[in-house]
Amino acid sequence: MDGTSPAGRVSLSSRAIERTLGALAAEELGVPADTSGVRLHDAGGRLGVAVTAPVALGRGRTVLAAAEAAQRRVLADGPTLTGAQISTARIRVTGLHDAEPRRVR
Amino acid sequence: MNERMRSRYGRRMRHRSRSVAVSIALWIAALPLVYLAVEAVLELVGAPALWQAPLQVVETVTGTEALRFGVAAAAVVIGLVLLVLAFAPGRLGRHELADERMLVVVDDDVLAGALSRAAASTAGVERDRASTSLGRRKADVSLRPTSGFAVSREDVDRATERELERLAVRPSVRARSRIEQAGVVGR
Amino acid sequence: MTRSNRFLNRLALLLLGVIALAGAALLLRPEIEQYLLEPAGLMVPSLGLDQLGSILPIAIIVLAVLAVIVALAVTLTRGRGADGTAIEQDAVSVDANLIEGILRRELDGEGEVLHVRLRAFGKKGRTLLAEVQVRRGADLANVHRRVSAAVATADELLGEAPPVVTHITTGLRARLAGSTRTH
Repeated sequence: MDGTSPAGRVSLSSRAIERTLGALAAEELGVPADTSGVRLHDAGGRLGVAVTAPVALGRGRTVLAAAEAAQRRVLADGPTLTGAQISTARIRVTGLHDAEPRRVR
Repeated sequence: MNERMRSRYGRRMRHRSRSVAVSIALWIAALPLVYLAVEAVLELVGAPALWQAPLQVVETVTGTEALRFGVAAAAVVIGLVLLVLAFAPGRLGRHELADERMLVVVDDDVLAGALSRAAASTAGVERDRASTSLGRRKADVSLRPTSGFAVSREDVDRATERELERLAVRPSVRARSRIEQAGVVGR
Repeated sequence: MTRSNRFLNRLALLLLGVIALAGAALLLRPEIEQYLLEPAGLMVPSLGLDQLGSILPIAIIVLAVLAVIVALAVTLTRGRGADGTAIEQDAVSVDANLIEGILRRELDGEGEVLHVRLRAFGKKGRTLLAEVQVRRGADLANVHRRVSAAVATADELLGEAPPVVTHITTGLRARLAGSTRTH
């Protein structure tokens, strides 16, 4: 599956792509999707993805394992869900996610 | 935690960064200039001054005794503080606690407090009765006993020695205790 | 921070200190003349400040702008930056903030530990500095034990054991070398 054939290709706006990829990573990290931030850049014509998100503990996985899983998930499922070719993905874990009630911004 | 990192960190830890002081000093220096500049701009555009036109501000300050001495005093204090900061070694007394996983550095006041604590505890007195003076290799512990209840110096020495060993202090410290003649009545 | 930076900082403090004292001396010129110099037979060089009148406003504005620029530049480039990155790999990086969070959690119940801060420091920036502020008269062995346990937990939760330096302090620091006295 190379994603170049136009027939049946899913095509999303970049914000939607960001949200989708962010949700993928967030799931692996065990945090709500809206806590993740995604920035896209061009990587030789394909997409480069930088995800910034906290991580939740107590999920039976080390932080590094969860982050690596998140990165693999973005690379594996990202193209299917967004229709974009993704060349690289990087996850930056910013901190702990408290399961406390969210502060109203 | 390897030796290279240990020595590198040790070197860094020896001197206190003065960069915060420099930032603060620069802003303090900029303040009067900014104020005068504001007055200058107001004067140039013909608007009413906040207080006085810059020239007049200078004249007033240099003319009025109170202001002149006040500002001069402030300048002297600030100047002296800055000079002290420029030259003071900023070296902090520290010791290391042996640890496999990482480098543990303890300020000497914390370590001294731990020794005082051990001494006071052994002597059965409140913590504030023990006072420790800590150098690089030596600690002098002084204890004021409770009147009527003698304290053996050997006991205190043993206790502080035990504490030092427990903590695995590096470089190693030898503690010497002294029981004060004058005790404190009660507790 | 490099060694030259440290030197520059001290030099800057020295210069600013001297300028401040010089300013004070200027303001106190009459007194200095009267009490110090005339009895000794010395004269004060007169300063041609009177001619400054017309250019004063402009000069002041220029100086003020310079001063603000310099102050801003120094403040902004202090380079402490964010807490830093604790772990950096190809696919993943972990902020020091995460580890700080874990340590805080672990040390929270501990009454003697007042504050824990963790940040990356050093040239390569991968070594972590944990500043542990303890209560005065704290049980040091206990604190050491608790911090060790917290770091071990962090290592486990993280999946890696980055180099750490722990600094235990009361937060009130002695300035001079030599003996430290406590009560």
